[in-house]
Amino acid sequence: LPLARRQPELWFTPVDCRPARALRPTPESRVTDQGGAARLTAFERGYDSAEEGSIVDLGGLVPMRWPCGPLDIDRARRREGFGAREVEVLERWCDPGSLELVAGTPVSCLVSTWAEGAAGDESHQRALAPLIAAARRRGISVVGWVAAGADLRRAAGAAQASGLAAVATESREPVDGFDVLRFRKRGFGDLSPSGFLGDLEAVWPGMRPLKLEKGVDAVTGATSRPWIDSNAWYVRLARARLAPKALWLAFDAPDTGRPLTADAYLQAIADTGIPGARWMVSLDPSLRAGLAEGRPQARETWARIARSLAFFELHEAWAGYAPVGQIGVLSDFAGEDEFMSFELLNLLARRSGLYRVLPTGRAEEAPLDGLDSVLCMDSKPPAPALAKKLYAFAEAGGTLVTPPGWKARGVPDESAAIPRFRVYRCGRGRLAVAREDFGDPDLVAEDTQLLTSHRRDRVRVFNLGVGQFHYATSADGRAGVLHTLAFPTPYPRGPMAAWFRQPWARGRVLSVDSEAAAERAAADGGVEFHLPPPQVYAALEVSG
Amino acid sequence: MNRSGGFMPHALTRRQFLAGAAALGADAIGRVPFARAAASTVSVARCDTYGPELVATLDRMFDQIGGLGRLVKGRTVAIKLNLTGPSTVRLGLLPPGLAHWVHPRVIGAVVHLMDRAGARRVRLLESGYATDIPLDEYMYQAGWNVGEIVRAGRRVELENTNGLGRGSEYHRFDVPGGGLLFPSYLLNHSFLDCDMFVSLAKLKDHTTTGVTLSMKNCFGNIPTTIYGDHVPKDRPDERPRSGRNFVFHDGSRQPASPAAPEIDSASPRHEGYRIPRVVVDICAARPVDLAIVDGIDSMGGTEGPWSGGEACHPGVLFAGTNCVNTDTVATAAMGYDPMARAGEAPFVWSDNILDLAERRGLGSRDLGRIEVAGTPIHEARFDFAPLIRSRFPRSVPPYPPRRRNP
Repeated sequence: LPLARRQPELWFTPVDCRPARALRPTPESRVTDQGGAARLTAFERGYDSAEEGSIVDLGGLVPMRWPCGPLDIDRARRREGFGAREVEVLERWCDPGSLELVAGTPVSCLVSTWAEGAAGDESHQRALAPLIAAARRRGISVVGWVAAGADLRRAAGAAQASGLAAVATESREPVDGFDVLRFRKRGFGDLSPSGFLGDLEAVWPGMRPLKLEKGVDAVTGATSRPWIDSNAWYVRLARARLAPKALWLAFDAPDTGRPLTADAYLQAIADTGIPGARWMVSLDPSLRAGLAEGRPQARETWARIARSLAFFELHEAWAGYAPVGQIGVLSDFAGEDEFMSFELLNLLARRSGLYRVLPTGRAEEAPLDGLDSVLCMDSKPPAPALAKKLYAFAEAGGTLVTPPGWKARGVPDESAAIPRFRVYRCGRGRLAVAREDFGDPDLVAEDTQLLTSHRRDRVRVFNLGVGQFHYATSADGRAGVLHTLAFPTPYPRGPMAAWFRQPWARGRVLSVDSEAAAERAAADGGVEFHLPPPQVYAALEVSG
Repeated sequence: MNRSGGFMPHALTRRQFLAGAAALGADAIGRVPFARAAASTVSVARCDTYGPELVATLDRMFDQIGGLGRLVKGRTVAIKLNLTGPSTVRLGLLPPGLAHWVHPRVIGAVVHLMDRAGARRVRLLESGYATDIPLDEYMYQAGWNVGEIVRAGRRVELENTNGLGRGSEYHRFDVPGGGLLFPSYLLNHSFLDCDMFVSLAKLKDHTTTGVTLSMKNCFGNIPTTIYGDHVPKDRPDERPRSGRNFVFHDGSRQPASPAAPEIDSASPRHEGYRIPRVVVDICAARPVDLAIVDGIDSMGGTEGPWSGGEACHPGVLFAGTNCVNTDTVATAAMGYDPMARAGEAPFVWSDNILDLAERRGLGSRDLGRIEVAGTPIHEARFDFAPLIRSRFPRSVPPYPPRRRNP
């Protein structure tokens, strides 16, 4: 049936998205001003603030892309395969009634197209006015997306007048008097610590089968390592490098012509939430259409998405835990070393390697406690004081892994079986100097893990299949969390086991839909917790 | 020659073996007359745990087959372990040594006894699944205490044979008299740089070959840098990334150059035809001098958790100097008939690997000719057939197709 002939109550009705335990904060709890707009604490430097105390607490917002209105309709019309149904869907999403969809969910901020530098900007903004007003009444912030080619000052002025909380843009144009969320391409060459960081180059997380001529495909064998797209490494790097209070990732769900599964969305939410960032939730076109038409399957998918968001809101403390680092990765992560250092982190993460980011500029002061090895990624040698510190690290028992050119110390270690490195016994530790310039970052990641040795593993996960895990502990060291992300494979799955060197006393397995105690068993050199077969996402919370 | 008058590979060096293949009376295609297939003593022992009784049991078993001293004294011994599949995969929650991998304490016990018997050096070998990382690292990933194994002997080395390892080149092992599938195989240097080669296997079913014992264990001798699924055609890829499905299981590609292509590219592409022949080829090209099978704790139904299977406790060990004899006795102890034809249990998906090996003259599968020392087979018997219920369904068509093996 055409959408217009459907009964209004069939679409955009609230869904039950209650998680397994407790609930996310209610919309009311975020409202702090009489007008109903989210209006919380001042944000800090790097964020273009209108005035102290007048802007939203970005750290507390859960954003969602909200395509609707004339500009999005125009854009849809320019796309091949455009259909009238798409227009109807975009019109429906502009209806204030569409806000019923986020009622009771953690979503607290809508990010809508606001200006494109087109003639239709003003009429689009007028069309959004009822939606914005209704959102404000519900305590939902609205952020306007301003395209790079638009007049940012003008768009910001219109946004302020229309009651938007802020505008978001990749434009570098300065603006005074209104809040601007700056989105950027990846890279730290010209960035200083910032209160907000928006990432424009995030990818849809998940497993990507490769063409055979390029390497391993996803289904070759039970564990052939497939290509996994993830943003977690970049979030960790950005947090270590810039310490933003809010980090939002902008990436859209792929349009496959069919609604994505709720599990696919959970992957995206978990990959972003585990390291402590927020995804601007972006539904695929088929799902948006399905929700507008009130299809039960679409509503079920949305309910699960909302439960997934709520789960990470409920456990937001985990994002404050420190990732357990075994390998320190030292680089300035910029300039000519950016590509290799970025890829190295990406590939270490893909191997579920435990690493700690060590920005060169702060490395002289940074403690190396708890690290088993330090990998120096940059081709340029470090300052003498830092080099001295690193050699001392090796002599004290660590493993120092370097590119060629580093001065050999100690005696050659003939037992080392990593052919791409010359290894020296150096005091109580080792120095490994690459024979050739670093080339393949995956090889560097693997070699570094081997030079560090799996003998020193802090955690091992069995029967995860194709997946990744992340391990972090609280500041006081009394609690930890092991996140597991598993990707679909054709192989049946048995129960998982997680071994920890740290003898945690208790463990609880949590997923979006369940929570239970994990059986603990003594194991060689540590403890082991027994877990259910891998799900898309699960967390093992350990303590004691 | 051994006591039974058959061929005793362990008494020969590889060079002697290769040079003497013709002297054995091989026919034009390398088949040795049936009657000459060796029949030697196989020791069987019940052993309930991997505890203190293990060393004493193995010691007694080695004595029953002539003693370790004559086999290893002053020699470099290479032991091919069975660590099949990825290091982080388990059958349920069981550590791999209690299911599909040979148990680390069996490895330690064998190393200890060989060291005590005067072995000059013991080198542990395995081609880790889809990887060339050092073998100790592979074991660490599984949670093993490698130090316990290495300290079991005075000079113990580990080598991942999936690639060049510590060697500088691959070595060609010709199959005496030709081969059933390939005329020769390129292998890691460790298979040449040893005076004695041991296959230390696990007692298991196998989804393709029916059983996997000391012979099938040697399938893992083959490096996936050359015979892997995704290697280039013209050269080895020194970063293994996959198994050996394409070259061996389905024959959809040939190995990387300079490995020899298969003999007959028109031969059946069914793994039930191919895999037993590859295994027999490998066991002929690099003879097994001592076969040991760990059947204390194991799994049935399949060879690894990726195909299903369930845990079992046969509580038995096997050892013999002839791999075909040893596997024959072990097969019988699993409740199967070593004389079964292709299409009959346990060889429901393949040719009978024991039959092919016997026809190649590698050893007899005639239980009437094989002397069993220690525990009689009927006392060691543990029926694996019921465990096949746990095998995951497969899409592979039956083999042989509507025919009986001649």
